Amino acid sequence: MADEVELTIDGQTIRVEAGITILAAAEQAGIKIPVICYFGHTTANGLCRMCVVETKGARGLQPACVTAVKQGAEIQTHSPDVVRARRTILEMLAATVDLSEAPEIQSMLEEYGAKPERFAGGERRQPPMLDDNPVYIRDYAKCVLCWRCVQVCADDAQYAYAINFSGRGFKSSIATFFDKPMPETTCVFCGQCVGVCPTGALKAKREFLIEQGVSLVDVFYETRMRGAGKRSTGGPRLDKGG
Amino acid sequence: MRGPLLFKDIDTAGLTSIATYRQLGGYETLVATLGKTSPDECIEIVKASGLRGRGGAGFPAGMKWGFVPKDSPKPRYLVCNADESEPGTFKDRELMEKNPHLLIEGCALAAYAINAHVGYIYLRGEFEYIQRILDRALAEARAAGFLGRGIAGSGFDVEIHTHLGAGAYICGEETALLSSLEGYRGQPRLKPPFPAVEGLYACPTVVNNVETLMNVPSILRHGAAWYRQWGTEKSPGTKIFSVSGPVRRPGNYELPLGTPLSELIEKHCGGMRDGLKVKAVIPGGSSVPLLPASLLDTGLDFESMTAAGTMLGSGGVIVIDDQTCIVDALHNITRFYEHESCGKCTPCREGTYWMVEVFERLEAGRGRAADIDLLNDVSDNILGKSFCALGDAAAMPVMGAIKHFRDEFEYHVTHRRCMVNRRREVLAGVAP
Amino acid sequence: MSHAPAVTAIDPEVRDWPASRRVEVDEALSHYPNRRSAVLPLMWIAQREWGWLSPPVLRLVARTAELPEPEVFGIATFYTMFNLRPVGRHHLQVCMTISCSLMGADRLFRHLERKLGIGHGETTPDGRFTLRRVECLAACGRGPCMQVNFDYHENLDEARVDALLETLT
Repeated sequence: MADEVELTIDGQTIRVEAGITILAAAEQAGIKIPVICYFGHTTANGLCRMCVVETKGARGLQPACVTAVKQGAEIQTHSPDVVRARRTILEMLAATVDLSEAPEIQSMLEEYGAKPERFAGGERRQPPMLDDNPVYIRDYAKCVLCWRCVQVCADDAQYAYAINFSGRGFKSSIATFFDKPMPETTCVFCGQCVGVCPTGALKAKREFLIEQGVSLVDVFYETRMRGAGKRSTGGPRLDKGG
Repeated sequence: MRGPLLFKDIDTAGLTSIATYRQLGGYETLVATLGKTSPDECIEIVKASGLRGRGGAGFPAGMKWGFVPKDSPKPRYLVCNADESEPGTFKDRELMEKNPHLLIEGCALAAYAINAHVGYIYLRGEFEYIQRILDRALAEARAAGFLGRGIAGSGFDVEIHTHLGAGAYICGEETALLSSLEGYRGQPRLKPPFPAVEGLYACPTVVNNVETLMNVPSILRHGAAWYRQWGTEKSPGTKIFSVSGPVRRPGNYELPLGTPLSELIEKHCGGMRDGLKVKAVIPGGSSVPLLPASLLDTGLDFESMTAAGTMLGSGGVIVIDDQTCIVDALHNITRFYEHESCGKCTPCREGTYWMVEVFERLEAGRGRAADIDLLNDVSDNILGKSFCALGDAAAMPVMGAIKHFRDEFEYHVTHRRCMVNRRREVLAGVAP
Repeated sequence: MSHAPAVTAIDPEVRDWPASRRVEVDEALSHYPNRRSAVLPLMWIAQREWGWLSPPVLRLVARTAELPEPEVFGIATFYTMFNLRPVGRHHLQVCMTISCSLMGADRLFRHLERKLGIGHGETTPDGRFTLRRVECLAACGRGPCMQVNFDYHENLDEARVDALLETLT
């Protein structure tokens, strides 16, 4: 069939639909490629570079989540170069980001034998936790900049456009307009950003309060009453089913 | 006369005005070409001339034009990359400041060759005064019928606008430039698709550097063979080299490609100042590996530079003297890339940060023996593994410096200070 | 983490473009097939008019370009030349990158810090000067170099800088 291609992944020759990504092809072959930023329901951007693979004859490594399969390609998903690249990414993230609530990344750290202590001595990202609404907290010390929250807030799902980026480079962060509190933004508190966050940087306020040992009655007051939360005046009236 | 082609008339008084430009034969090529030479023929002539991109990558310009699909129903765009931000490079600034009409003529001809009716000149934000010079020149060209509807008496329409960036080195990367021009954060996009197929507004787009486009009028006027009288077989023509650092006469020099680096420094720039000696030269802007003084006879062309383990890049020649510590110099350069990393992909965003951390340790006398290998390792894990070439640009100079000057890095670890330090004070602290 | 200044800074009441800027705004919008592309030109016009991009000013830019406000904030903070807080009348931007460094930029910067009594990113109390370190300005052959607002000043040393500052009132 003309719209199929044949390629080899880790020595296994497979035929797949033309135009699909290397990540999808590998999945069909039963080969798991690790990902951080990739999420089936948001636009893939090839940001985190965990999914890189080695293609024979190609320069550098290719991000599997956004690279289309090519006829005759010979791909290695766990070559020494690939493994080293992934390990270094994990080490660098672990050295500056709080990954304590990112179980998937933690198991990757273990699987790849990462030694974050190679990168000891740097400055950790430690912005203060933002607790400004009754629905969720934002703890960007845990953010790995996967972009998923910004994407679901915008064209990938909700079209609310409450959050975007701030700054660039190492100092990039997720932010509202001039860092305004969430209730003053166009946030509709749909919770989708919380749902797609892979690291616990965004977390349901209730879950957060329960973890803090707050009594259920207080959790109710903090998260469901009008005027709940620290700065939620004017926020959504969740008590009226809104 | 400062050079045979682009610098031939560069210092003519009043050259920024269309009257002076025309007295020197300006816009004659445009008039002679439009409607008389077909767009395809123009592409073939530029291909035959061997003109290669002058922005850094050296990609053959005619071939790039040829990649624009002929059957696409979408509009096509020409974009001039005037974001000149590569440290050590300041040629486009002088070219545009002094001879804006040559750029406009080059843009109009390139637009004709690829059948684009709109072109943008993307200037780095700091070039606001050049935007004013160009806007004035564009208005003159419009009034004279060289832009707009049916230009130069032909049936071809083209409009050109300037667009001012706002302080971001990454916007010199062509896909980041297009993102920025479209009104997004200036972050690179995935290639493929390449801009020639899907560029500005997802339409076929050619992105060419200022110097590249300024070569087009004379090539179309005099032909490929004439242009090939300068340079080498694979790197034809002349190139403007921007020389900086402690040489006697720093500045822009137009020389045939292939001229030995030593000739540029010794003959044209008058050698070193203050009794200093050359320790190393970064030949193509800060993104390329340095050449130790022993390789100064290398020819300034794409092939010779690649063979010597570096690249011709943008032609920004940064001369580093024997009293400058290589670790200090590379610390400065790495700082630049950390500051300019767009933050999109992990290896570059985190890696450039860590490279600077390690340099700071070395500088502060807290370096460890393992740090040199760590620096190499982080660089190697950025190289070819990040989203765009900025990562490579950060990695290659460091790897090259460790290769050629490992002793200076080791000295920093063992003695907790620079091996040479007369100019230490000069280079000490760059901005976070 | 974020580049945002305290929102309590001067927050001028800005609702629309002044009549004197309408031509520029329309001209900028006319250059592109969509309004989004005009976002940088609009920010430049706004910065020329108001000196810095305050929240109401960026909101106006967002409305004009028909973009979400947080995205316009994300764009403004991506670039280094947009002022998200007020700056002095003379914005001294000293290039610190390799070629200027090799010619003494660091010494020059420290001289300016001492002379003006302010550091990187700070403004003198009288609002006359803001001092900043910046990256390569494409003046490598004539370093050290500094841009004052948009004007280039090259081949600088301490004496030349002192003489220049005298002229900047």
